[in-house]
Amino acid sequence: MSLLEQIPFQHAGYLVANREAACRQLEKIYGLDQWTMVEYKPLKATCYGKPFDGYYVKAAVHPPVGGCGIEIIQPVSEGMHMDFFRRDPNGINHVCHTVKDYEKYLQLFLDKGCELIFEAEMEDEIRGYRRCGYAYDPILRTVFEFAEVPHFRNKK
Amino acid sequence: MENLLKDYQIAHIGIVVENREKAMARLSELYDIQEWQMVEWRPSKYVYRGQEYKDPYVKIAISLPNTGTRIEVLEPQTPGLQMDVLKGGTQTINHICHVVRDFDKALQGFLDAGCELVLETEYTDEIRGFRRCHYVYDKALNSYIEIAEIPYFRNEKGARL
Repeated sequence: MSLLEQIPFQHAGYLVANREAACRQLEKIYGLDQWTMVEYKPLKATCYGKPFDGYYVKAAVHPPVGGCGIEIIQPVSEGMHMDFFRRDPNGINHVCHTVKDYEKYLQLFLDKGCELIFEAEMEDEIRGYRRCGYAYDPILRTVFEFAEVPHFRNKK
Repeated sequence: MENLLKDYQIAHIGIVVENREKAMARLSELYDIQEWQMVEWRPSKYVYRGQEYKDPYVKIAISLPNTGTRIEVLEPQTPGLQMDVLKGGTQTINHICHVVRDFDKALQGFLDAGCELVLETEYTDEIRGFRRCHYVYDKALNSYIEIAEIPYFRNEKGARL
């Protein structure tokens, strides 16, 4: 069984100029009307291997639709998302796999020559702790996101 | 409210590349994909932004098995939408695709929502029959959506058998 069958795409991530306008359009196209707006300001972020303070993107996520979904991201601060948004003429930025064993799958892609261009940690009282990492493949010129299934941690 | 993304599903994510075989080898390495469906796509009709293109040709490979959202690799050989994407882009992910039975209804839904029809194609072969595959562009998403028809056979007058 291929890895794509084991960890199917959870979403395609779009970079847009206006989050609300994109969500309204997706409601018109697909009837997607249950968006949760996320002011994504990670506790910790690294861009191109360097720590990055004040990272901020406006995201919109929709409950699962029973297959690969769509995520909307409007870059606000400078950083990886803004870089791609400015230089790329196409809105689809990445495909995402949501995984329990985050380190294993991210490392698998890095070991095969992908570059870690962004990594972030988030934690809140509702969903707990989670990480996400963006692996850029220079051969395919494609970004693969690995998002950790949120979990709660003890004080240690 | 009706959720069309659930109904249509994302059949594949398309990436436009300079070299199909190289991209397949890379994706096979990353995802351990063992098998690909190869398509030498030479549609009988290819109208891009209102202009008809003669003898269009795109080398395509689609990951197997046919489950979940697959990966489609496209290597354009002739001018057209895919070639423009290849020349203009820094990133290779190009489109999402929905495979639908009621093609006209689905396409009209996208157009009614404000998407722009940018590519119209038709393709027929003896094994799978006739199908249309069109691309629409959505301004708010700044991206293409492919709507592909489930193939079927037609009689001499063009009606569905």
